Amino acid sequence: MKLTKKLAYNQLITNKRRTIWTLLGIILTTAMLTAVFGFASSGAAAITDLIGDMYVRDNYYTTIYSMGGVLSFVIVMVSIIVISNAFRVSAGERLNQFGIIKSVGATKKQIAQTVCYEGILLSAVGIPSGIAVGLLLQIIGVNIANYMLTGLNAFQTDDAAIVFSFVFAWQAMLISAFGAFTTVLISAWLPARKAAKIAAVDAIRGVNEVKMKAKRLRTSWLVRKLFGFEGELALKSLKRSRRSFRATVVSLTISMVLFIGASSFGTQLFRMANLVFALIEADVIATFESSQQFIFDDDGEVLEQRYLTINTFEAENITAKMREFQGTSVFGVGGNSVRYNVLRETLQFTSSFDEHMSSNEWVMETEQFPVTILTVDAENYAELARRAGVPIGSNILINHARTQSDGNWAEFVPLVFSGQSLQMQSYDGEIVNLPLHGELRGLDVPNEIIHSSVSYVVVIVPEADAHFYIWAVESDDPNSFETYTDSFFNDMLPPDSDIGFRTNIFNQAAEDNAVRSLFHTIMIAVYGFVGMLTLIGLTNVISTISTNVRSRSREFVTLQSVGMTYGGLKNMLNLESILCSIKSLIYGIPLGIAVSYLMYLSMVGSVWLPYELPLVAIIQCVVAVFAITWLTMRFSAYRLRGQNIVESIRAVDGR
Amino acid sequence: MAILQVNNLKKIYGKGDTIVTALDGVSFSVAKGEFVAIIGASGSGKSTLMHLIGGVDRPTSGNVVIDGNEIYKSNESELAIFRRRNIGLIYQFYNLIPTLTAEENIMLPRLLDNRKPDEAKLKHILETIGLENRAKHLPSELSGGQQQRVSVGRALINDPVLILADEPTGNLDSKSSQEIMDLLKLSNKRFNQTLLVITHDESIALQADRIITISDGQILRDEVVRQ
Repeated sequence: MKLTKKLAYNQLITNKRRTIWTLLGIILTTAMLTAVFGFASSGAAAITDLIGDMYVRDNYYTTIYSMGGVLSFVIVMVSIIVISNAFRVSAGERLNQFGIIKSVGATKKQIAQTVCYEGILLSAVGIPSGIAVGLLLQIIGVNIANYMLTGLNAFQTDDAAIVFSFVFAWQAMLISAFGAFTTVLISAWLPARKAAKIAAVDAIRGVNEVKMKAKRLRTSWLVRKLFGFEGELALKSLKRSRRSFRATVVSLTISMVLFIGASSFGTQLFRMANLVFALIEADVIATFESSQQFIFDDDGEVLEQRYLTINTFEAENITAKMREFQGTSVFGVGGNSVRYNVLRETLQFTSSFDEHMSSNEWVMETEQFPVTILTVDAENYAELARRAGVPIGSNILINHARTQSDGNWAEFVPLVFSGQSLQMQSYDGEIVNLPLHGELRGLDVPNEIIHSSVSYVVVIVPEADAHFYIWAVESDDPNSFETYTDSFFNDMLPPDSDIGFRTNIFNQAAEDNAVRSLFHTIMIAVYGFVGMLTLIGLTNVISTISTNVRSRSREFVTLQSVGMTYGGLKNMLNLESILCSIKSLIYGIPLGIAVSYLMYLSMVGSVWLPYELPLVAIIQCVVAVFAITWLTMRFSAYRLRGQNIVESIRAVDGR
Repeated sequence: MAILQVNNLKKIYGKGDTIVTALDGVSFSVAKGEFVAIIGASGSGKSTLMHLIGGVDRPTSGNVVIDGNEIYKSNESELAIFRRRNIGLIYQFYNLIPTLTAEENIMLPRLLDNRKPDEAKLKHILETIGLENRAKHLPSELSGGQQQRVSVGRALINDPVLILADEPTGNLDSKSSQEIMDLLKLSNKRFNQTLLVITHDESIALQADRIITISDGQILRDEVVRQ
């Protein structure tokens, strides 16, 4: 074996712990690259499968693979930071060795070679293992995705089902192997070049690669006041090893930013979903809606609006038939599409209505107020009449309004009810007098009514020929109910004419589940990516901290021999981990919030929701960061405990 | 009055076949203000003796009494606190904390005690070791001799009962070596500082009041060179 190779090999064997962590970093990097491109290939195949070869446009593939490219870029950047730091520490540790072989005539090139060989040896083991792990991840991921999407696919026809299959893409492996190897070489080359440049004399004398200046290690008196002398020592150590800890801080920061970003992405996704789902709370919604036909006079004025109607009797039959299905509750509500207006001056608004208008700076421009006239199925009408305290056959004012303001729902009573009559005017000028017998407020108003009303003045009448009718159904078995209703629904509707109508039976429960499972799938993928990247960062955090603690054993022994207690030593290491954590939190949290805000801006452009600080994610980050650094420091320090002071002094003196 | 009393000290390393008896029943006592050199070939057990007296190691049997305290009766923490207040240690390889300046290194035992730095005392020590102008430098900015002078300063800061020096000149050129020895002798003469120096250098040993020769873990000779 060539000497340079042998030196590289020895270094790997001597410092097993760091070798293992670095290897783990390389394996994870390769695995992630393989998995990302593997998923991209699976995704591309699924799309081809879904819409057929003929229709797939090149830009679909471009989109998928460029997404893969962006993710790979993030992976490679994190990996370079992590792996190059490991090599830098390794090269720094061997400065003395480099000095010795330099003094006996090794060239710069040979020194650089030993460091690079280290990279090659690590790659030889790490990259094949990484590809294997990556393929495994791809298989697991594809299965998870398919499992999660079962719900969505059940909702779709077979043609529209999204099914991922495992694609063995040799191009993906080639790219990831190449990517990982380049990463390792760059990571190894940067410190190797620097190590080779150092003069033999400096290397032998063990002059620290970063020449320290007392000024740079100066700490504020506040530190001693707050954390004691141990804290001051801790801060000085961190300042000395600034470069090593910079990588630690950067990788912790990146993980935090990604985690906060991912979790607020998830939050936005589900908030948007909830907002959409919240409109009508029902498992199945069946609707009948008449088309409009306008009859114009010679001047082009609307002479007549024609609708197909469903009368109370017909609607009631359908409602009854639906109720025959076991475990089902039905709320039927119909309405008039013809616009009736009431003159504003004939209405008496409450002060809370005025307040609401002025607080939102809304100005009433029209003098006419639209009135919504609704009819409800007999059973529910009876219940509403009971709540309002009026006999069957009364007209009931829904004296309740709900609007969205600043992303929150505001509810209030808009009108002053005094048993008055509404003077309504239809589009053709006809005046209709609608007496109001009772009112319903607040919780007495069923949700189905709130969702069906679009104006401030809503009246429920006992009977009407409705232009649209909605059956909101809660069912124990939405899927069977959907099939059941489908079998009779159209037959029981009024016969069609030249006006026409639309019907729809919408299984919201299934759609709801499907969309949620799709979102869950997306979130698993996102968190999986963040988690893997965090693992790569973690290998660096652990190897940096443990190497740092190990290389300072002499210092620890000195401190102990001049009288620092073991408790004091522990204290110092705890403070180091706390300071290191604080530093990464100082960068990570604001950046994470910024990313989550950008995510909010880009996602919530169409749906109006206020920004929500990702507090839970931030707290999770704080806890996780402290736990990670503290555990690592503690574990390293624990290994020092068994160390006999005398043995350590010997070991250090002997070198 | 004996400031240090070593009673039948034994230290055995290893088990079974690999058993090594580093110290085999060593007893002696040192009076206040004495300057004692301990000499012996490498492997004779002199460093083990030093570590046992310094309280950084524990014996297999026997005890050490410093200023009336039987030191092995204390636990680790008590021993550490005892060390920082009563014993000054000087090593061959200086063992300074690389992140602390020269003056901070000197103040280390006091800082560990969270005591107020005694400016007058510090100034006096810096003058004595001749590093007034380099007080704010880090160890890496100092020469070997200067670094060792800092560690002498560190040993002196608390007016310890006992200064233990393990090959204090082992890593220095002859000029720096003599400077360190002069410094130690000065503290011995001027402050009546009790001094225990381990060395294998005859010329260093001959500067002491008393020379104890150790061989194979036992005291071979214990002679007073000057009164």
